[in-house]
Amino acid sequence: MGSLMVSLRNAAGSMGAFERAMGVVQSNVTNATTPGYARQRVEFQSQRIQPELGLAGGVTWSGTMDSRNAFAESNVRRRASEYGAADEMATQLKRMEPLFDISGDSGLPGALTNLVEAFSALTVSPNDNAMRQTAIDRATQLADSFHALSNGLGEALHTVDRSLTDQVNTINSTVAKIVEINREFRSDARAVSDAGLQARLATLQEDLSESGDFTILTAEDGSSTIFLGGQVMVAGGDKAYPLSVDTSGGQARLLDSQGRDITDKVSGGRVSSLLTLRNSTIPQHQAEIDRMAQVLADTVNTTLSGGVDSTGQPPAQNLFEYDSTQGAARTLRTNSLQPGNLALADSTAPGGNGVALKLADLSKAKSIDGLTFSEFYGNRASALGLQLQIAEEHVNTKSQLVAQARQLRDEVQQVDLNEEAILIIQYQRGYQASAKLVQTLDEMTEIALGLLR
Amino acid sequence: MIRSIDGNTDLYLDTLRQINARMSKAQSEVSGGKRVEAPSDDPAAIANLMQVRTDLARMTQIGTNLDRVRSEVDSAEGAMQSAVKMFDEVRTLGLSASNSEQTAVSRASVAEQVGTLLQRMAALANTQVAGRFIFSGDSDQGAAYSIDLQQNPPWTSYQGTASSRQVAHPNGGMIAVARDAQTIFENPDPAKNVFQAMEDLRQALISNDTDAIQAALAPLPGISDHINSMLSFYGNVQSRLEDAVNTSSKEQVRLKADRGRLEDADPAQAILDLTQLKYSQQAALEVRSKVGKTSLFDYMG
Repeated sequence: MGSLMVSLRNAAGSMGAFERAMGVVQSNVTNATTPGYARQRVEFQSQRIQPELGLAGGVTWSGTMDSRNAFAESNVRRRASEYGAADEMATQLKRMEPLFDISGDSGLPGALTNLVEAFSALTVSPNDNAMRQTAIDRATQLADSFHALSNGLGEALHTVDRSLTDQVNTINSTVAKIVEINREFRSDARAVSDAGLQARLATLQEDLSESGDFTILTAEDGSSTIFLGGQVMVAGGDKAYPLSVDTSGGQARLLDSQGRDITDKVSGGRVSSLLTLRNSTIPQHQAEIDRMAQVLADTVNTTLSGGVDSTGQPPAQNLFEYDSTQGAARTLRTNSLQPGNLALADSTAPGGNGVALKLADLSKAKSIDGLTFSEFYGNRASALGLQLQIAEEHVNTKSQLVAQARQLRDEVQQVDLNEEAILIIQYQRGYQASAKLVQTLDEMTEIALGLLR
Repeated sequence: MIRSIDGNTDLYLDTLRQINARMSKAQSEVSGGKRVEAPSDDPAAIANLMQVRTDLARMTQIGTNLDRVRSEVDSAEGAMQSAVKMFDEVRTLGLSASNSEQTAVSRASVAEQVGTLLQRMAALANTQVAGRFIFSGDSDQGAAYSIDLQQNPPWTSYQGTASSRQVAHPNGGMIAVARDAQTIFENPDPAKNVFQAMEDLRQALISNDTDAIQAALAPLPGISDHINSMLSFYGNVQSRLEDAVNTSSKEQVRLKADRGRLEDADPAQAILDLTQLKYSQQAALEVRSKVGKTSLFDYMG
């Protein structure tokens, strides 16, 4: 009789085990498309069977097994970091590309062509005041074009600064959420096996990885310790160490929670691309455009200074002025010259077109780095174009790699609805069999009790 | 990235995105006809393309300059032809007036005609084209001479300057395109001084001095040769400008071809690419749409 009761209890217990197993299947099925969710599997444990000792066997539920694969997750994060870096670089460069007009009809190339055309036209009528005024006006337009390009690069720099600040804020916000989860893990050991919490954590970690090259270590209590660039701790246990960014100077600096400069410690993710753009790429373009403006202005001024104006006098004022400390392209301007002030004639032949002929050759003279101004500008545009082309190719490659990494991860830990359906059938049969067993044992117990009455 | 889609779908969507991007580029080439519209389209070609465009603009402007100068030179050549004819008329008048049967009255009448021709010769020296006095040298905003037959000499001193102006030839050389009025009409060499020769004859005719008339007639052939040499100069400039204009036109055609090679799309290739990409896109979409949407759940009772 006693063993009947034990068997009855064990059968009821196994029904409970199957009920919980169904609960896990339900969680898997409903979370099949939840980001970061890893397939859960029930672990059944067989009870000891030694009837002579009163051990009637049975099955208990010993917990759930997480199919999460640390290597697969780490691989996805690494690829996400590479993708983030490439995508950010491509996005910012794409915004900058229109600044370098290559149509030849507008922008800096158009303005330069127009100015040289005006000088060339003056070789035929060097003393025509209307044409002289046209040349002065076009010089002003050229200065304006340099302003537009320089201001555009400046605006691109500010955009990168804002993006950098936003990214750092995003990092800090994400790290704060991870630290919250760390606290939950530390306060309740059972939370570590919470599939929902783990899914949130995995998603947050993946999001974080796009922003920077973060190394994430998992402690025994399940909490995450996060390092940026493998060196700078941003989260450990229940503490977050927020980052900040200083864009006030000529170079942007990424700072740790102590205010120390960690710029050179970052080598991946969106932050690294933004820092590269901010501190290297854009300033380099700006410096080269400044140099072009300076050399152009100096060349024109020097050529004019060798001539005489319509009164036969050397020029009293340069055509172009700039402030090299503030950036020649940004500060380039024309002085208020009268048409007659343009010194278009050689000093030996007042009224002639000797200087105008030299200025007309501006477009073919190798004036800067052994290149013409058009070639130099073309090289700058080409450099940006090549950077963008490479970045876009990287985006294509890295996005494929991220997708492949996620695919590999999914193969290991994603919910397969067919598997879950089979498990449902399996658990349902087990439950039905256990229920039938309970019914049979109950009848047997009734019979045994009837004998005793 | 959409977090809620699986890796396999992510891969598919990424491939589709790349196909769409390439289609967009091919479509742009077909509709716009341009292969290079932004620096990233062909970074290696940009510097060359910019310089070709600059060279084309420069060559076009040179062509415009040459056309403007040509009209000036044509006018100058026409003026020289008129000068040659006028001076021939002076010689004819002088020779007829040197006849011993001519009287003081008839010679005075001839002198008046020579005076008129002198005034017309000075007017030729002040020929204008598009507001420029083409024989005033580099000081082309003012007349070279004014003339008053009552004065001695009748012409003012030369108001212009030497002519240093050159125009660029497409091959990089320079063409001197003008002579100043002083060189042509008031040359320091007495054997080439047109004004002085005409005035000497006029005065000799007025004074009815036969010896003076003969003396005035003596240098006229040499001066006629001088004017003809000026005419030849402008004729030569016309030829050189004609050659320069032709060269400029050919260069413009060549540069346009170079520009086209660098930036124009190959329409046939672009259409082929677009067609192939459309098929790829269609195939990808159709295959994906036919992927099984059912699972075992759909068959469970």
